[in-house]
Amino acid sequence: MEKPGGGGVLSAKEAFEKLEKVGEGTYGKVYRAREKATGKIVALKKTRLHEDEEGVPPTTLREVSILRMLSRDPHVVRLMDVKQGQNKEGKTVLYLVFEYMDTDLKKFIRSFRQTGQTVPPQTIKSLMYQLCKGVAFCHGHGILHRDLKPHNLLMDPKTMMLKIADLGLARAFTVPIKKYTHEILTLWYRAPEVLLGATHYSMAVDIWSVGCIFAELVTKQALFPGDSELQQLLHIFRLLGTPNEDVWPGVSKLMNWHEYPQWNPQSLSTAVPSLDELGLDLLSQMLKYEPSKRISAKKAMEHAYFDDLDKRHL
Amino acid sequence: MPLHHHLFLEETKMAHRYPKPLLDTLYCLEDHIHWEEEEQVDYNEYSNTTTTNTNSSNVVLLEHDLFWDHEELPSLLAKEHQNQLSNTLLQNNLVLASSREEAVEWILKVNARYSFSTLTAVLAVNYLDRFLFSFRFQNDNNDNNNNNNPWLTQLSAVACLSLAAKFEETHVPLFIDLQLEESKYLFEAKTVKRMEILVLSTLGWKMILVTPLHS
Repeated sequence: MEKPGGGGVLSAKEAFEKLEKVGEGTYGKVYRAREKATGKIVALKKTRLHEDEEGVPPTTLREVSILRMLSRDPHVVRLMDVKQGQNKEGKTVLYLVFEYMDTDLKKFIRSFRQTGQTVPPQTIKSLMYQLCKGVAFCHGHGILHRDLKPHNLLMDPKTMMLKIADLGLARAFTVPIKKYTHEILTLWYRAPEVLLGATHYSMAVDIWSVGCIFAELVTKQALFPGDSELQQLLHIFRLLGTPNEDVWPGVSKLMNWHEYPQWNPQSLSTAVPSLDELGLDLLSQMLKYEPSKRISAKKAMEHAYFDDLDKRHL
Repeated sequence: MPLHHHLFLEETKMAHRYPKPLLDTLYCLEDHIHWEEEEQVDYNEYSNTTTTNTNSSNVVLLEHDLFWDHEELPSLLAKEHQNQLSNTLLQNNLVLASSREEAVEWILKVNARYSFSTLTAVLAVNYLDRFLFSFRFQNDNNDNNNNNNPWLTQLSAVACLSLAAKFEETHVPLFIDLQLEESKYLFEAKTVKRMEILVLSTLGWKMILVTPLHS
């Protein structure tokens, strides 16, 4: 960590050679870069502190603080350093230095879609186990991710290692869970209680996202690809049935609840036809309507679906 | 929240009625009171929740809570070690102790004004103490005299409360609005911004704190 007044410390510009831009986030760009001193390839996430901004953005503050706590887990992307620098106009810039990962799950799935091949079942099982393990680690440390999606799951295609990234929306939670803002969250992986306006929500929102990712790994298509909050809900209701007080006590009291078309639940196998029985059971437990009934990440790791997986290197 | 607000106001008045030597004790008492009250409120909320659930839901919910509590305790204990503070600094530097007391009092007033959570106040005071300790330690080594910069403690308090609010609250006032509460100094936004970065780098960006509110 760069200390102010430390004359011997290189500035971010001097320490790294930017190789290419690989992404753009809410607060700035992400670069593939080489550390000049070691030759090591890293990902540099640049966060501008605009003059009109009120200091360090909350998303950066949370991401760095949380990663400082979580980075020792092999399934959470490793934050190596935070460096302070100045851009051409003399404005303060923060550089988050991450280990570099070659690809993400979104690109991985797309590559299979383009070739027409299916993702091998054992690969799906391994990736899902790693995802559950990483999420269990976050939750065990009191951290909700809140924006799990294939784009935020980085991968090494050679080793098939998977790491959770982009914790800018993540939250440390106390018990009971406090109210949170209805912040931007990718619609396709958003839990129904969030869509219906619940402001007290919990680890279960991440499990819903995990379930959606699971189905997408099998079919190579998003399970619930809504383009508005209403459409997102209707996608969910068409498959799982329109919820009522019997299957989800309290649902009709949620802020955004309305009258909806009444659909009966369909079997999950209609949406994910090639998944085996154990996988369908695990998926169904991840997609329970009632948040407290949804399986936890830790319990998911113990599910029989993973019994035949060689876990020694995961 | 109204109850919360009321408690803060009462405690502020109480603080003013006691002479300086008792303030340290009062701060500890205040913290204790806050935590107890927060737990009380949480319990009420929990009771309200359970009364609307079926029996089977209650059982499942309790089981789920127990499960997570079991996992969480070792993790919380491991984290707690990182945040331990030293009292030596304040005992040896009465001028700093005095400005720290003023800063803590200011933090509590602003916390009450904006109805921030108790955890926000706890975080802010923790950041302030860790920063003052670390910063003073560095400067003592350099043999600089910071006793003549009481504004520095207040600026630290503004930055620490801002960081705590950003971490924990959903809506954070502007730097200028944060300083509406009576204070000797008023800092520009760009000054607070630079201090925020200094606090963060001094604390190594370790801003997640274990408190009884996690239990």
